[in-house]
Amino acid sequence: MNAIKFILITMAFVCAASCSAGEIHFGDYGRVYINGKEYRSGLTAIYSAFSFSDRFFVSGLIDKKGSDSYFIKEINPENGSSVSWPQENKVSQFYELENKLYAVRDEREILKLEDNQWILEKEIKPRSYVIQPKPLIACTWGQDTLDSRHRLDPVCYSPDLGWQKDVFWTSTAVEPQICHGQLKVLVSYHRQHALHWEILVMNPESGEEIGHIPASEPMLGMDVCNYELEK
Amino acid sequence: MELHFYPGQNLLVVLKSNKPVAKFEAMGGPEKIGEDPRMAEEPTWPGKYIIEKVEAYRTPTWRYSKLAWGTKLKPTPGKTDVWYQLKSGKWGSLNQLFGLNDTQSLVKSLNKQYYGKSEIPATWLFNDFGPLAIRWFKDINGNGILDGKETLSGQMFHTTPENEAEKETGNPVRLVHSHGCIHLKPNDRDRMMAIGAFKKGTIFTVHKYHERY
Repeated sequence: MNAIKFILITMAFVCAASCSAGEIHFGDYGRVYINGKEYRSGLTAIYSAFSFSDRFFVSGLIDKKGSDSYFIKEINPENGSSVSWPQENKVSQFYELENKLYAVRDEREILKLEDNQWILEKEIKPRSYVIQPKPLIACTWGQDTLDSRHRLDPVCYSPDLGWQKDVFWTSTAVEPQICHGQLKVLVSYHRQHALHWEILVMNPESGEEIGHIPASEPMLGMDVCNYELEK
Repeated sequence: MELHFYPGQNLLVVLKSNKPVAKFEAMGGPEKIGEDPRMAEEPTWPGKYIIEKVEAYRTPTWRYSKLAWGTKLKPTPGKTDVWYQLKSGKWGSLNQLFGLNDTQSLVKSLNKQYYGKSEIPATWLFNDFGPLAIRWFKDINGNGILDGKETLSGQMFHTTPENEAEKETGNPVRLVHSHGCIHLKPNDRDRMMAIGAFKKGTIFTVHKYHERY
């Protein structure tokens, strides 16, 4: 009996933590879960989901016979209906700043939701991942190919703070983060014909390198904030 | 049959009974160590070697070379992942293998870049070393076989994904300098295979950069 009581209390706690108002995440086949309830977005694949002021947004693509069309969609959890905004290319990220919603497009743009329209807010580098919106700090990802012409020259940069640094970030599944005032990025390098991995630790204010932490191969779920410089 | 590579002339000569039977354009590394920060380009080291084998090369050192050329792919509808076929016949996740979160977009963009098609190809076409690599070794003890402390050279004959795509799409195939390997054109590789130039045990000489045929 006590065990059942414990499970019920635990379930109630888990639900309070993860089923709170405004919770959204996505699954396969364009499925969206808002406060635990499943909705069909109509998208073939989803890249990002975000809740903003009790509104629910997803970005993704519709694949029609090999032709990809990109969209931002707002899902109404009341009836499951949606509003679509076609996009020229992939929207990989949403973020909120000063009570406004922003979307990051792969090809050089940050968009802002204004009067229910997505308008161009700022031009950025292609393939940017925004780590901090203000002052803006972002990294672009590159490709680790033998042919140096196809590596896409990845960098971390801050247009607001005026710095840019070559940072060989290629593993998009392990996102750069700022933790405890340090910018940490998983990077790779080659030595003696072998590939090595490390966390590059930088000062987010200046882009200066603070140190390196040896790391394992990238794995889904890896968190760069779990790595600390030795004191 | 013997092979002679003249890196200063970008020339590969096939000799039979000391007479040339075929000549091919081939491009090695630069004459001096380069400045690629990922892996400095190096000269194709002069010396006498023996051809050991032809293989679909894989290496964890370069992401796109973790998969052998020709590995079967399957798009995963509704996901941002691509399945690749394992040796067992089961399917693995490319996102997991590559440490990426959207290999479906990546593979489509690679296919678009090389073949002009924004779709998942049926097989992997982006291994940095092409479909086949021809491996050689230095026969230190002179017994003609790979043994003792001898190892396969990290330098090898191979084609590039770009040149394979150029051939496939009917565009001119243009060779570029390598990091030390010897780049071949896909049709030339096939012809050399057909005439038995890469048969195990074939003697292969890399000449010095200033030497001329």
